[in-house]
Amino acid sequence: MGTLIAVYVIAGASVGAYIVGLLWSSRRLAQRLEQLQLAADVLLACDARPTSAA
Amino acid sequence: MNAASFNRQPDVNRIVSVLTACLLLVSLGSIFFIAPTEATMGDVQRIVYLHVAVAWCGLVGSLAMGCSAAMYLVRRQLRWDHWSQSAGEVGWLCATLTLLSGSAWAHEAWGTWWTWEPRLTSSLVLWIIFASIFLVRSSIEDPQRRARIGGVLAVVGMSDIPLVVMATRWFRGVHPVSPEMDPTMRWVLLATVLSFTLLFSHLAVQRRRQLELAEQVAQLETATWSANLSSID
Repeated sequence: MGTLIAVYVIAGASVGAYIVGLLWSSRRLAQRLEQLQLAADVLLACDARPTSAA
Repeated sequence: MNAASFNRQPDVNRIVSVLTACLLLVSLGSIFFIAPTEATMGDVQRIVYLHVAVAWCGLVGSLAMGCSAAMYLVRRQLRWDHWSQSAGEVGWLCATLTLLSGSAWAHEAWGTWWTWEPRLTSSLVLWIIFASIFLVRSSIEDPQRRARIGGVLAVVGMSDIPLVVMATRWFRGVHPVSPEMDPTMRWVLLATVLSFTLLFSHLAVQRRRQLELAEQVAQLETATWSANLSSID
């Protein structure tokens, strides 16, 4: 019975770890995407700023 | 992909996730509470349900990895490489669980954790082939080069799949070949295989989407840096 439970626990933990890893890296990707959007907004704002008359 | 279908995807994902979780709970419940206890081995025989399901998913994942890699080599589109990588990762996870559960079963049934039997050996070879493909892939930066080299290796690695499948018929070994089963056991096994197939397909689809998103982020990073540099100039 111990072997049986151990096998199912290991299988569950492995699949669980893969799912957690997938969620964690998706979150990191979403954060990176947000940073890139901010950077793009800043760049657009710089481009749109009127140049001062010389 | 248009905006409407993109917005619909989280709902579809949620439905599939809930469905998968329900099916998994049902199949796990069936394994422990509905399937009859086998006369010779007792409760340990219940390892077989998990073992067969992950072995099936591992082989399908490996096959999907090889076929997607072949599609990449023909079409040279990175999305095929994303499919190949995601299917391969999930298949490799299943192959690992197959070896672990098989080893535990062998310890109870044969009195040894491992024997160099044709089915076991060819399965281990497949596991090593796909592990080495991931190692090679992780060492290459350029996505197209990584996809090309990984693709060739995956297609070559696929040649071990027929050996794994036919090992019990082509060579003499101790691995069981389609043993006689009680009809209830057969139904439980079928339900487990179906629910695990749904789970791992869902994981592969999610991983493929993530790889695609990572590719888009990398492209955006390059574009932002170029724009940044040109604005400095």
